[in-house]
Amino acid sequence: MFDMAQYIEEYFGDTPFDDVLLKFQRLLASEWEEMHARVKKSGLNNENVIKDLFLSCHPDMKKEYEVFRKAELKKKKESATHKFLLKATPVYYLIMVSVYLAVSFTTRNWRESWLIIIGFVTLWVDTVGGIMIFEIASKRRLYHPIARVILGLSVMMTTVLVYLIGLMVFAIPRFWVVFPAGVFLMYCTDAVFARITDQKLRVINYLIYVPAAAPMIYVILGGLHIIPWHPGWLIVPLSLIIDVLIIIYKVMENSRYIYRPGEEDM
Amino acid sequence: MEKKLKAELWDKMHYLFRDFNDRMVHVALYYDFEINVETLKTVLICFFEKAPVLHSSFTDNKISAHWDVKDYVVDDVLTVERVDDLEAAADEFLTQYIEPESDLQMKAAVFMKDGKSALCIVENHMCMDGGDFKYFLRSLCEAYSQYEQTGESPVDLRTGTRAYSAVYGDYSYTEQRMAKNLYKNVCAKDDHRFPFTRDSIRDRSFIAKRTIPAEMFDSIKTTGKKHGATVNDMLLTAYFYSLYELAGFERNESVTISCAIDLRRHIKDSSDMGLTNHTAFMQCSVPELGKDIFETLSHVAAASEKYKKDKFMGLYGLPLLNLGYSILPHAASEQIIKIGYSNPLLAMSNIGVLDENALSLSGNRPSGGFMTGAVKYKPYALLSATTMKKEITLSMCVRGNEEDRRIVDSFLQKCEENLSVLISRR
Repeated sequence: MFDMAQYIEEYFGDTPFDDVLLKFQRLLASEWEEMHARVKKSGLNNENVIKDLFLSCHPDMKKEYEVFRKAELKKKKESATHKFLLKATPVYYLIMVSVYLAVSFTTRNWRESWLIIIGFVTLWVDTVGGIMIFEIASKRRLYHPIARVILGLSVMMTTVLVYLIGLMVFAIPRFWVVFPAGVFLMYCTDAVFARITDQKLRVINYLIYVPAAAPMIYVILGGLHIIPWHPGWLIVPLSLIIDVLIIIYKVMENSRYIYRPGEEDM
Repeated sequence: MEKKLKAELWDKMHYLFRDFNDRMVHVALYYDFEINVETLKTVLICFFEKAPVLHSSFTDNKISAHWDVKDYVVDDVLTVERVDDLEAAADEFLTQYIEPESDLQMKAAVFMKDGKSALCIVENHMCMDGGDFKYFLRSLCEAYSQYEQTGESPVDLRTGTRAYSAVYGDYSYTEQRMAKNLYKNVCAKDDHRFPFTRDSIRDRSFIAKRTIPAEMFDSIKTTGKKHGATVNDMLLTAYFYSLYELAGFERNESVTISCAIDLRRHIKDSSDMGLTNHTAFMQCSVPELGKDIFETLSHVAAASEKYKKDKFMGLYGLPLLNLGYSILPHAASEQIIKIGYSNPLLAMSNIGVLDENALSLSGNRPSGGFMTGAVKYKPYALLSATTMKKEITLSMCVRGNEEDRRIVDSFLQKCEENLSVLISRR
């Protein structure tokens, strides 16, 4: 049997050696052993042909290694982040409880100090959620809905925190508008996610979100007395006009790419 | 761990065709020497390793279809037998059916008699079409010869993407946007059919073929040129004319035949592509038969000229199919596509030239051979054509009875007669 391990080691002789390279070499070596056993079982006994067959499946191992290294380093970074989160979470919660108790005992403001817990928890959820969204977005589209749900939950949780602070600490009047604003923000972030991840047919999302967000804007502006309730309600039918404009824009944009046989080629 | 391969769009489409045909592509090559079976086995194993879809089992789990790569032994791929009648043995072998769920998607046989041999291969159309099958055969023969003569390992087979979207690869951004905007249902909507007998459970698969003598080839080509038609147009004309006669269609009726188009015409460099399908259909309609076969030819030439002017020829419908398969689970996609899809009742596939030099085994050129498409289930009909040594082999694979065989034979005879009429007036 051809000494593939030696071949691989010599092939990567001038490549800086580290654990990533070792892992890649090990992967190649085990693939070689697997292929060798498989083709032998299939009926191929010429060792030279088996060796050439394997090498023809890996015409540029260094290029393969570059791709592997990139993926491996990304995986390592993710793994380091996960490990950090795992270790940091108990410490973080310990700090949270300490800060909460310290502030509460010092200020004796138990009525509001619990907001510290909500604040810490929201920050943790948003951080972990953000990391998860980032990781999921780089995976197959099949998993993207999970990222979008996490994104929506993070936005709504932050909204609740902002509302509680505004209500309990600053007693801002008409601060309930934060809730429709949170919903509005949820639509916006989802639309941005669809755009960044280049989701197919995302225009359908936009067409749904515009009329769905319009009542929220109406309630926010009306609630803050920026616009009168009447005729401010016109914002809602206006959203349908915006939808029509989006459709017209998309149709016009697409018409630039409609091929008409017989016309001069572009 | 079991390796999985993605089921590409055309794999799924051909799987959907299971109601219309057996999805097998067949080839037979005859040689005046005895093929070295051990060499052939070595080449086959190497090629199967490079194209794992050939030893994979198709899994339709309703959510997303895929291929599971399977282990195999080469003796299950290659049958070797000494026979009394090469052609009969080849015909019998070629009419077999390979289940998409089986572990192997290609079977080969070498039949030998008195120092002569026949190399027969059957493969699942879900893995590759005639275009790539021809490439596979050329590579196989070249690898066989080099291994025999110089001992060079037979490992030279293209590998890479099997995705349908490779057809857009060489287009500019604007052209890609245009091509991907071609949402069109390009199904055949003609009810004219081949005059088969009624379907029956007693029907068996058979391959009917007829070889047009090599002497006629140059005449077909020159006559075609004179009328602004290609060899394909000439064959199609013979198909139309013979069918009108055989089926008794009214002369003023419009009939449509779907013609296979090789989408590789859109791909400049295919060196990084795996074995796959890149075939679509164009609808070739004649408004009427015309007063004679030459008028039919002018109708056919005009119809195909219209297609040839279209730079996105054959790409219509791909975005719609892709959308259908990408937004829903596989089972639901199939149901939806089935609603919009109607399989052409009449079709033709000109597979093209089987180059005798490229198909030589250790310097031994094939003495004959043909490639043909899937066995169609009645009422669907597909006429396949391949050319070797200037001999055009017309063939039809049908699941039918003896009466159907007689009808197809008489149709093929009419085709030859009509081609003779076409070339008689030069």
